[in-house]
Amino acid sequence: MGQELTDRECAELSQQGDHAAYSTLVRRYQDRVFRFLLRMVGSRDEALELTQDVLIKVFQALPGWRPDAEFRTWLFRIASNTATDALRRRNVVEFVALDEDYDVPGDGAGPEAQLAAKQQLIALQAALDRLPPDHRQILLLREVEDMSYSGIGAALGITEGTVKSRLARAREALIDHYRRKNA
Amino acid sequence: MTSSRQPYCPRTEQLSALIDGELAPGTQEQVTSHAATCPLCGAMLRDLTDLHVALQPFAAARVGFDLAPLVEQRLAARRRRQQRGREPRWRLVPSGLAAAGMLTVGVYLGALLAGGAGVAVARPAAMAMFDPVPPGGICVGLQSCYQQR
Repeated sequence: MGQELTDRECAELSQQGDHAAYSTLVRRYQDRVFRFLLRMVGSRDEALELTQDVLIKVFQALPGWRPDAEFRTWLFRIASNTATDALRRRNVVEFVALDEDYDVPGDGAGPEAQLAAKQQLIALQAALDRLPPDHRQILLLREVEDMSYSGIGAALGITEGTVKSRLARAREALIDHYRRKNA
Repeated sequence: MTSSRQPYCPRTEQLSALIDGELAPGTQEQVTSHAATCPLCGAMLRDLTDLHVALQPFAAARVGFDLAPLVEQRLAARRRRQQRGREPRWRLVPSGLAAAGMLTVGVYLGALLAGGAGVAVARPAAMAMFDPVPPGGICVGLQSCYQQR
């Protein structure tokens, strides 16, 4: 049984026109890109459409990808630009609440605890929606995608120092919005 | 509680970097030990940690199906469009010539019908029945003959 290919190997094969290798990358990253875009634009349908757009843009930009750039970081740079463009096009940013069937990880908790967890998530999403897009992006890349400061810096085109300060401001603002919503 | 931040308290970005493990080892120890004794920084550190925990369920969102075939389909459609755009121009020559020929024939026939442009064509006898003056007739119609008188 062959070993699973790394991102770099898949990207290099895709550059040579190997569509199966690119499909592997799509399967590997579709959920990550989707959840990032979902939290950025707030609509499941739009996030799904944008996810496909990102994956197509990535394929088309692959000839310009160099192996010294981490593939994930490079991909999130494209995703981040796509989200920013989508929000700019929309002009007035509207957000929808979390889907009704949003799955809250239950770990065996009772229905009341599940409901409380779901309400907390809805409140958090509402607080997140109130943040400016650059704060939301950086928070999602760090908290949800678990990217390092250098990775976030490369994805957003900013220095690590800026990542550190912007992330702290974004966290403070999110806590503040969340508290005010639940006051 | 009236405690306020002390001048030697680390800034929020130090606490934020602490929970991310992005501080240098020496600074990390300093900030950790300060937060353990300072109620304000300790509370801030707990808030940041709680926020990190609370945001984790956001990672549970899934597409729910395989996007690879859809993406491949859209890429194939783009490739087809691009190929069509790249077709050699000489392939347009036969259809261009045909169009030009049809146009010439159309202009020629139009000129014949109008009788202008100095076109003189021998009229076949069989076509005489379509003339304004029928074969054997004197003029176009009876009324016009009388009016002329």
